[in-house]
Amino acid sequence: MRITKFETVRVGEQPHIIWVRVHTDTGLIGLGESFYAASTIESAVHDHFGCMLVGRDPLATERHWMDMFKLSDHAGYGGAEMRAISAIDMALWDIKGQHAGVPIYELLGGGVRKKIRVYATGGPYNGAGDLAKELVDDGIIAMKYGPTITIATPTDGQLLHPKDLDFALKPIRDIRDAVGDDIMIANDGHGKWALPQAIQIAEAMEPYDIMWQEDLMPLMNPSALLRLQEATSAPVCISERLLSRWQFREFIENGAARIVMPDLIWTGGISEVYKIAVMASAHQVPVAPHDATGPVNIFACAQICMSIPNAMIMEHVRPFFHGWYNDFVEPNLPIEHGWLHAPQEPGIGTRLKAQVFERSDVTVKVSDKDVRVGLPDENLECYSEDQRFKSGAYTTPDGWSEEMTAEVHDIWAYRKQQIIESDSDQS
Amino acid sequence: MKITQIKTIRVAQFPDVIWVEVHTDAGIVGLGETWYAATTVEAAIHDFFGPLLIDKDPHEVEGHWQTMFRLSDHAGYGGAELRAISALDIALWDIKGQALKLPIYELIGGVTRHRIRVYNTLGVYGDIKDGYDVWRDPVGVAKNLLDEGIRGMKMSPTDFIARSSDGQLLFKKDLDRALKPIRDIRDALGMDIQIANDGHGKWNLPNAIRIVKDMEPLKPMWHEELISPLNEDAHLRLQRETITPIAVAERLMTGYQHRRFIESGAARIVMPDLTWTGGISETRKIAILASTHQLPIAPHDCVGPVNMFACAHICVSQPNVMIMEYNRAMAQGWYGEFVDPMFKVIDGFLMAPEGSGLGTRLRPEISERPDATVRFSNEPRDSWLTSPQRYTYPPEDLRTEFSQG
Repeated sequence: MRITKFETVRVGEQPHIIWVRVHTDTGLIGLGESFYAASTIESAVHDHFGCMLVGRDPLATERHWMDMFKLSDHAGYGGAEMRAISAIDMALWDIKGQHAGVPIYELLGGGVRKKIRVYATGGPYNGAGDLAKELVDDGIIAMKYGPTITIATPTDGQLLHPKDLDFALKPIRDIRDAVGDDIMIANDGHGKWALPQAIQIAEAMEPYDIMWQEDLMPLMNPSALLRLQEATSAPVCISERLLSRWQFREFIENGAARIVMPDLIWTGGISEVYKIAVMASAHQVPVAPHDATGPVNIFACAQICMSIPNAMIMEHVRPFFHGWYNDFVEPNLPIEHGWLHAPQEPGIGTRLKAQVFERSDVTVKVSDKDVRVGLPDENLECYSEDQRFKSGAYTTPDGWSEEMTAEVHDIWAYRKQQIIESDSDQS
Repeated sequence: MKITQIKTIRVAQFPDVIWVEVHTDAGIVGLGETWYAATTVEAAIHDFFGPLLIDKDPHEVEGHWQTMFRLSDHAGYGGAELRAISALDIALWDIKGQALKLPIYELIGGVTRHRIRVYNTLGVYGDIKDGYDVWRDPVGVAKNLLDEGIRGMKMSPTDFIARSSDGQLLFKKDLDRALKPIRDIRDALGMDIQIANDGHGKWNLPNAIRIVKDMEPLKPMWHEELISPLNEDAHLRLQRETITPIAVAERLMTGYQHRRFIESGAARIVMPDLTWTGGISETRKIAILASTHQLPIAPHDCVGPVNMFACAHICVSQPNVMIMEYNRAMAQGWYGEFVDPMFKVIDGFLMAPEGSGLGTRLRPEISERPDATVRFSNEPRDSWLTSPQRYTYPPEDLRTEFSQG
């Protein structure tokens, strides 16, 4: 099997969302998704990563992740490039699952559970109590609010008046007044505060039995976050903004993170979240995947949640799930009465609806080139071996032993052979 | 003064370089640059960061940096977005310097020196083929550098032998062969020339330790990125195995990532890439952070001419600068075709730039080249992060109850 082209899909109605479809010569199409600065991701998919993978066997997910990460990390990994890698990685896993005829979780370790609890994110300043009642009636046992996010703005999080804090916590009080302990409440700070203000907030919220304190501070310094954890009885939870296992590592190892919240479509896709989950499990720390983005992310997170032992709970935004997700994917998420169920279809478990491509606000871009635009410049170290090989740019230095040169050529020949064999498999 | 337009320019001849010009209503134009995945940087500048700056006062460099960084960090900072921020930051400093009629270095501390030593990274461009020649005639390359007054060079002798195993297996005989050029130089010229070793992050820890041990008799100037800077503990283990300083590294993004390597003792030389890590603003902060741990910085190049100018301002103003990277193949080969004036390297020293601001301009004819892609942004847009309409905000009528609205 070979990757033949990369297709990205964006719509004006949801300007942050981008879907990535990886096409193969067998007709299988893998679906991935990311969110945030979509046009920048689009460029990274087509101009940077896609052209490296066209022509390759899609099943070698780990090799592709490694090559994409190295290509990105040459100039410092992160941002839109990691989001592009994440979306592509998901799509490759989707292809693998479809090829094997099973949901992805079967390939990751098999089901350790058939369903996982979801919590509902977001809500209004006034009416939080009513919302909590509605959620409880719907079978949902946890919710997340961010009451302190906005009051950080005037001082950039450097000063917090106790009166403002008290006022901001009204929704939390309303929820407890309305439903008592029938619902768990998590607090999200969006990384707005300095350390003393973060401690001030955590302390003020102690009476409300907070499920976790998430991202009260920017995630720049594990020692500082540990001081916050030591100052509160609520578990500190981090964070969708940490990218790859290497950024999570220090927070997990030093004990600052008691709950780990990777965003699958930002941090490196299914491959990387699985590794983060394994690392967390070695420290007896649970994983609660991040959402608030798009429908395909939750499908991918469902695959993780069914297959890792240390999954805690899954985020979702109820108005999205009941609203615009229905316009874009088929099937929609298997969420019922507060539970996310294991997807049944082979692969990631859902497809983009055909009508998405007929919308007037859709931007579809396709690339099938296997050499990066503007290449080759043989002097640049960073391009992948495949590209250098394809472009004929790569030469071994003079003076190398024949054995060494032959060994490198063997590897290229081996990779080329893999492509040829996968071609003949199909024919 | 207000920013009126953001313009990006790239050319197919060098597909990874992108220049950004920030235009103002005062007629002052600021110039910035970055390198790598230029089309992705271009999208980030026009669709994400640039419109935030339009109609704003260019003097508020720190505020603009924070706004852009927060917008990026909402989904995890780094990569092309941080390169876009870096290029825009350089351009803003350029505007500020021109408006005040002072070189940028005067604004970030004034001169602590008038020139900085450079070392040559062995590149290949045009007639200069240091990267190839060093395998055939290492002593000749070293002598040629010394004749130019350059007393340091950087080579990546182990890149090639890491390829076949992805850096997971190192064969002793291959390492011996890879180090032969450096041995030849030491045998012929002794310590006349300093030699830095760049590993481009290709090895695992035990192989990196093997390399630093085997290279000990060759007395390298530093070891750089034998392992990728993903784990400062691993780097510290490597540093503990050798007397040679460990340099890290152009791929660390912002002072936040540098901090871990500096505080843990893993880095003995700090090598930010100004056009990747966050521009002049962030590189200066990294220099300050390094200085509190008594460490030098040695800015990274192999990017483009504007980076050299920006780094020159850092190098002549910050007290703890060791040496500046210089790629003579690129600098003498093509940098001069794009900027006017060109920076000066004399007798192995990069000289302080002259004139106000950055000290150079992109040649106007570059935008007219047939292989040029030029894109403009003219429309302002506010960051959704600071929008007054967020769904998490209390209704308007309740906001008066807050003491800080």
